[in-house]
Amino acid sequence: MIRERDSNLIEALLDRELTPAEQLELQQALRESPAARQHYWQSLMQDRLLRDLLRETRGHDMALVETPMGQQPEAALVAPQQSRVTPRKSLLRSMVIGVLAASVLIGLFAWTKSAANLAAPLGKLQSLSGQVTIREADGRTSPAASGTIVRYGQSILVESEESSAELQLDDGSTLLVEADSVLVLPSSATAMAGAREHARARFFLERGGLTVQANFPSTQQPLLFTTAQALIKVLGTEFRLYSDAHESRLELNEGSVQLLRQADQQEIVVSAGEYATIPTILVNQKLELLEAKTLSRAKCELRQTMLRAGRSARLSSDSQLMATVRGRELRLWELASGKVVKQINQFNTPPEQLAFTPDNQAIVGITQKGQLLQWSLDQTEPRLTQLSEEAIRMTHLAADGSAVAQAIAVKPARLQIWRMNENAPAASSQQTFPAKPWSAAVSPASQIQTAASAQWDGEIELFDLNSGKLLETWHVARSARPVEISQHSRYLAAYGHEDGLYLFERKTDAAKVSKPGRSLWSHIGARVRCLKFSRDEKLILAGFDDGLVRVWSTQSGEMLLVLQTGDPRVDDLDLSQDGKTLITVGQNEAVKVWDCVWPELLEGV
Amino acid sequence: MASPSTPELRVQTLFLQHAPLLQGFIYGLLGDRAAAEDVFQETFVAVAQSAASYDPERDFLAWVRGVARNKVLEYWRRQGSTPRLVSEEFLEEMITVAEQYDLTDWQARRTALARCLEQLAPRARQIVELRYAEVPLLSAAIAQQLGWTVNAVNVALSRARSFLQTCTERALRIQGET
Repeated sequence: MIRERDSNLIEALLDRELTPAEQLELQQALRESPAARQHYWQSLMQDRLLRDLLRETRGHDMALVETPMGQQPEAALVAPQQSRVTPRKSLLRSMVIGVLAASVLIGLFAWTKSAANLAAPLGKLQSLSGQVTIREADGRTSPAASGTIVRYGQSILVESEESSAELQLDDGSTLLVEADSVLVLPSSATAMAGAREHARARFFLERGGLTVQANFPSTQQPLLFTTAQALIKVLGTEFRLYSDAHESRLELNEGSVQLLRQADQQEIVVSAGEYATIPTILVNQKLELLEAKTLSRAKCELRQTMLRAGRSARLSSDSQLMATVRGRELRLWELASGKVVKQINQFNTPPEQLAFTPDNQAIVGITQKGQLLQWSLDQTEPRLTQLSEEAIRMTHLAADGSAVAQAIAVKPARLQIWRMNENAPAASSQQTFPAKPWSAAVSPASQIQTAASAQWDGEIELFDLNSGKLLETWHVARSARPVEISQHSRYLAAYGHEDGLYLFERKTDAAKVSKPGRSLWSHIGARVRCLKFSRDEKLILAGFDDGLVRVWSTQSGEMLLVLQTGDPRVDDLDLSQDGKTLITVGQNEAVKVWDCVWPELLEGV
Repeated sequence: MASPSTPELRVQTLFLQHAPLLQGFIYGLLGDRAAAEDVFQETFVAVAQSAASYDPERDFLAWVRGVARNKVLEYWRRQGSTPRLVSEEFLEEMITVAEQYDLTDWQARRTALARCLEQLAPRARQIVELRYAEVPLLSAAIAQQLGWTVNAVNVALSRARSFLQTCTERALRIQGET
């Protein structure tokens, strides 16, 4: 049993700095009492968990920037309703937990009732990558491998960012379970058939993303999928389904799907090229009309594919040339003919990021280890310069090759900016900003040039490189990466590890308070790998680890394009200055060139 | 943007997954949030630099805890004779207790705690939310906001924490039994 005094000291430690005398007293208690040690770790873990649970942040107001402990933030006093955890959120959370708990209970009930069918095989796992686990109905887990037979009542857990698993059903349908997803399989064939008329099976997407290619004769019963918010009856199709605590989102490539909203049983048919979303409904909340909307108002058509072209690619501003890196080679392509016109390979470590200079006469490249490459295209050899050799967490090259930002981890941790010089030395360190950056970004040279530091705790700071001033502080839930700044530093896009893609807009000179961030994509089942703004700042493009490119209007936040590249993931992308040419780089170093047409308002980007 | 090499990405991903647990571990040894953050950063750098040598068959958490332990020792040596919450000769004993918390336990605790939070009385819940919100308020600020005395806030906060701890442990026990 812990002594009250020890308990008080532990609690005091959580709320403030202990005095030296108190620290000594607690040290003594921890040394002497196993109960105190146990209670100490329990309290600390609970404290960390509470911080974790109650700080599920979104992009938010500048007035709510976290202040050091002990200082009293004014905003919190005058605007308590702006606290990150509002009653509405709290209610939402309880509902989600309730729904999930109910689903689990229903699942357990069904499983118990149909134990006889548990052993029946449902399909086979194939094309596994990363960490995939099978969870039995009783909670036991075991690692899965390609070829593993999955059975009714089991769940497939795809656990990390690099993982995915494909489930092939006996009728040839395939279900691609994306990273960070949990798919609960039907509890039993017979139980499910009885549970709903026409139902052959029902899958529950607990969270994450799922791509389905249904392949069955019309005489068979349709597949059924559920999420916390929706029930989807497959009528012969290919679709993607995403589910999290906030909403379910269904996107259709082919065929059609019958979508039912669990809250009011409203049903619609979603057809090819359409999508529909169902948000989590709060108690007494008025339901909006459920409708299918057009998935992509913009259109991109594949012009050519260059196999084994490289894993990083950039377009010249006139869209005539493309630079790629493959192995130790930096290649220059003529886009019209698809041929390599020049190449160099005089470096040990190839650059990982590339940029054309604005006059298209030179290419700048940078390695993650900080080696800078400047290749004047009329020369046969590049100029190589080693920038900082310290522990670099991330390096970012400006889209016009004018500057490099480095997130440096060793003490003093900092954001370091290098500017390119035309003559020797190749680059000079322009500025450093005190920060603990997890990732960094720097904008192209413009009237205002900025750099951003995204910290471990989700704080993102935007600095003016001319004045050295801190312009903005924004937040995401935790460590944002990648981060990208638009041409004139009007926008910053950041992908938060836990809460998705956000678009932040820099406040005008007259505005005192920053605008809150706009959430563009919250489904962590599909993660952003690369970001790029169009040169005119009207579009933000994101390449995902499920092989899709999504493009949003920066002004309205509307998703304008969902492009299936046909690759397992998108490692890099670039959009030409006129917006008509898009290049994507897939996992297998295939560079694809796309001709794009944007909605009327955005034509001529 | 090019992707990092696979071992690096795998280790970074694992590190991210274990980050809250590791932050708690380091804070528990140092008892100082700012110092814990610095050591956490240093631990990440060391782990990232050793990513290539990490054997996926090994227990990741045990490995990073070992790295963190060394970083804590390095930190103490840099600090010289500054008073410490945990003395060096007692470090291993403290670590042994902390090792009972792994990622599975952490996730189970998180789920249980989320449910227990819902069971808090509205006023207690409000105080906990203010204390642990994005902008954490100290007792004095909470008291001012609610029109309470500081002592009343402290008592309420203490009771809420105690309830949450008991409730979480009970939920975990029941889960373990079933």
